[in-house]
Amino acid sequence: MKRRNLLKYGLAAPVAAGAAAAAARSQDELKRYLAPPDGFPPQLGTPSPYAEPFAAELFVPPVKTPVPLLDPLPDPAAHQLYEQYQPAAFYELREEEFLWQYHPHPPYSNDGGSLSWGFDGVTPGPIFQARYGEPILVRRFNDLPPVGVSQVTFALPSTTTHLHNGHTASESDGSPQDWIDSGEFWDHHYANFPSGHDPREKLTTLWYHDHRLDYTAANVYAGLSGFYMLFDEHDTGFEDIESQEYKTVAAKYNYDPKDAWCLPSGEFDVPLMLHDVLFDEAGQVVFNGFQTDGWLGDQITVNRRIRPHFKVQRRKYRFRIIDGGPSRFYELFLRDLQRDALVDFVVLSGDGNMLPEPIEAESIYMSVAQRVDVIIDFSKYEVGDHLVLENHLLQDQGQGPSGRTLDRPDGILRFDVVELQEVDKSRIPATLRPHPKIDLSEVRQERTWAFGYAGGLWNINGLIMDPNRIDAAVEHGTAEIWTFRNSGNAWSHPIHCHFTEFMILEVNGRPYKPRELQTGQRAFVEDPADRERQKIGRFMGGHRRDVATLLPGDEVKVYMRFSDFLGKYVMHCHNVVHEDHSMMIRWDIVPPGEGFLGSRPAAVVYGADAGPYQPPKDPGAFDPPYPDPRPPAGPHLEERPAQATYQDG
Amino acid sequence: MTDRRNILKGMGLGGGAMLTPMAGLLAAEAPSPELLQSAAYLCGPGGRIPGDIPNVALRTHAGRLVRFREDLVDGRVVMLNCMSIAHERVYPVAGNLARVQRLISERLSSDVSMLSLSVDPRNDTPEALSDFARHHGAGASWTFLTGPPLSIGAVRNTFYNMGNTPAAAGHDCALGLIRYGNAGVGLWGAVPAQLDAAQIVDRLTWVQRRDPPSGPSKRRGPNPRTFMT
Repeated sequence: MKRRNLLKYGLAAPVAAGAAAAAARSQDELKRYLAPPDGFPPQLGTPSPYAEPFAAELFVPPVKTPVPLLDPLPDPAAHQLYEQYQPAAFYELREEEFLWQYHPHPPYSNDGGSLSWGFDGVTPGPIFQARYGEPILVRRFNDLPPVGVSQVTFALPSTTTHLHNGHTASESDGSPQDWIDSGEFWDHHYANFPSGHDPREKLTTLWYHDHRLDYTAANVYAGLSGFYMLFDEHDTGFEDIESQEYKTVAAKYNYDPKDAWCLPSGEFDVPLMLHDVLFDEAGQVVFNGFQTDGWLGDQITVNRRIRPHFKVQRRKYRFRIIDGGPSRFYELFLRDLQRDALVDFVVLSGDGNMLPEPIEAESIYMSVAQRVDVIIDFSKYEVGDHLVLENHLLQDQGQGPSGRTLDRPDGILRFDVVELQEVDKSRIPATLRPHPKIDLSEVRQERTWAFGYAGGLWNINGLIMDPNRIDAAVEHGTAEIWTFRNSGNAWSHPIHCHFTEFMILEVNGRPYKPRELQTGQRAFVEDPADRERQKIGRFMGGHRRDVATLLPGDEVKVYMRFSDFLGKYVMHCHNVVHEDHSMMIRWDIVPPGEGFLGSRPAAVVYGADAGPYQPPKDPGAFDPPYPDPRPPAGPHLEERPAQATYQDG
Repeated sequence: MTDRRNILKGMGLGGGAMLTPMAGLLAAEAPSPELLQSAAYLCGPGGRIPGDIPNVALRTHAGRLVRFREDLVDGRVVMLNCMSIAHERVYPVAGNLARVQRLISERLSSDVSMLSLSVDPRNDTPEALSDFARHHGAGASWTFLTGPPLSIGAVRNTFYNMGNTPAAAGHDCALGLIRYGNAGVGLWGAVPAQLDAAQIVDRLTWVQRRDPPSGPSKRRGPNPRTFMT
């Protein structure tokens, strides 16, 4: 400081002339390099190569089929409630690296496509069509090449697959720390019963995706996501109750045809997963793990095809739309290109929760990981007509949407209307599923979670993610009220809690009344019970969800119940870049009377040598016969050694 | 604008700190060698690809002039944190890194290059950093770095890319986060600097090169204790 001042006031004037000349020469040399503004290269990302919109055909993943037997057999002792919910079907799913065609034109089509990860050779992975009352077991193999061999270098070939938002036992939830490395497998047991055996707690559209500690964003972006649909006696998976397929299923599960909603089904029930991806000039996927605000792509993909088209018959379709992230929010509209008019959606569900009754909505607002099921009726259009699914929401930063709309809507999927093949027997029922009751007398604890930022890290209540620390112990069989508070006024956080859906009690201090729907950050539409429901402007997810969208400054208070299972779960921001930079906490379900506020180490709570877990006994629980007729399960791998096996850097 | 000012500031600092007092005054007028090298790298013909690790010139706590990418990063398992001796008082990290250093030597057979980049080059001279390194028992593979703000900014803006907020502006958002990775593979991750040292060292093993597995797939889980561990 002092020397600089001396120089400034010319007190260092008497210098040798030769030295001054040398200094001037190097100054000139320096100036040559100062052409870009302020000496820094621009921070702008390089846009993806041009991809003609609607040239690609929509990819619809295949339906997953079971295998007769798993070898080695699953270990019943490793799963909670396994005996009560013995798997009726077994599946093998393999995580693989392959080339994927995001678009049929060069450069995307060069050299067989873009390096990608996925399940069974496709991304999104195969569709699971599961059914309430039919437990299944999915064995997931990590067949990815290991670090140094994998050609997708930005992601970690070590994985754990979360079923979002299944009512799943902790050990099958796909917890961030339950990962498998290349050459290993993990058994996920999905009991497929609703929380607390309350039919109103049933879910419909779920998705599975990677949840690896610190690498969720990279691994999902690389392609590790897929669909999981749940059916029951109402949402049967069949639109024609006269069909033999329906009758077979109805006989097996004792369905009453009067209960069937007959929603569009089979090939007319189409899941759509949105991921925004950035590509380099060779058509390969680009990811920058050094970006902590969030990661945006400029090519919107639907089921991993860039802005595809889809041939639709003149009839009703059900679309299950999922915002797969990593960081982009959407506001979706449907445009009839012939009349240049916006068309309403018929909304069935929000985040996999059926609404009490279908709602007509002009647009659908989705934060990351939100799901919305809609019905679109193409029978009103002529063969050759086009409709386009558009995004109107402007988001140019990873931290969240700007709050403005795009000057020109961004078309992400074009529907091309073709002739009807068979009569459309699907229906839109007048009512769907009532929401579960909120019983405040069950509330044992209230907690507040503030989502903040410090030192380059996203945090929750100032805490950074530590998988060995329990930040909330909730008691089995109780309910709690959690408040999610956005501490920031510039960023958005889609907050997701595993294991259980929540009912929203308050938004920004305002009670969310049962007959209302939220249509904006502080806007609600009332729905008087005595007249027909009006159509709404913007659908933001309904009362019952598993993602609370915290826009800047928002605070959302929710009610949630914890039943059936014990063990560790997580709650986190589903802008998965934020999650990977620590915006996640571990919370555990513990036996009644053992809950606590605040944080404790897991080793203290469970004890280093705690005995094996005894599942809670249901009335009429299954008792295994003695001697046990089942062959013994294969051995577990030993605990991971503290020293890594491979050390060659 | 600020950046051009920083370059001028850097000229005074980088040169002055390393030369004799008389020559230091002279060099204060001239850009330091690290500034020249870095400016040539960052702004020279062709420029650099955004997101690439910059090869800017920096000065180690031992006073050695190094090129960041070629001499410290290329082909190695690396962990990088931004720090300053002054900031250490309000957000202590170095003690935890010393534990990390010990655990690396106990648990990993191969070396990890630990890089601590000062974001306060005005005060964190090589001499000051050398003293700081000695205090924390820094070994041969733990290097403290300083240099002209231009070079430091280039590294920081690459590893801590915070959208539209330049890392040089106002408060620093990079000091709580360690970047680590395997530069030979191109795989990078991040871990909170104040997290338990053992968990930080775990992460270094994740990014190490591995051989493809052989034989049938092995069961990793779950086991009867998974739900609580």
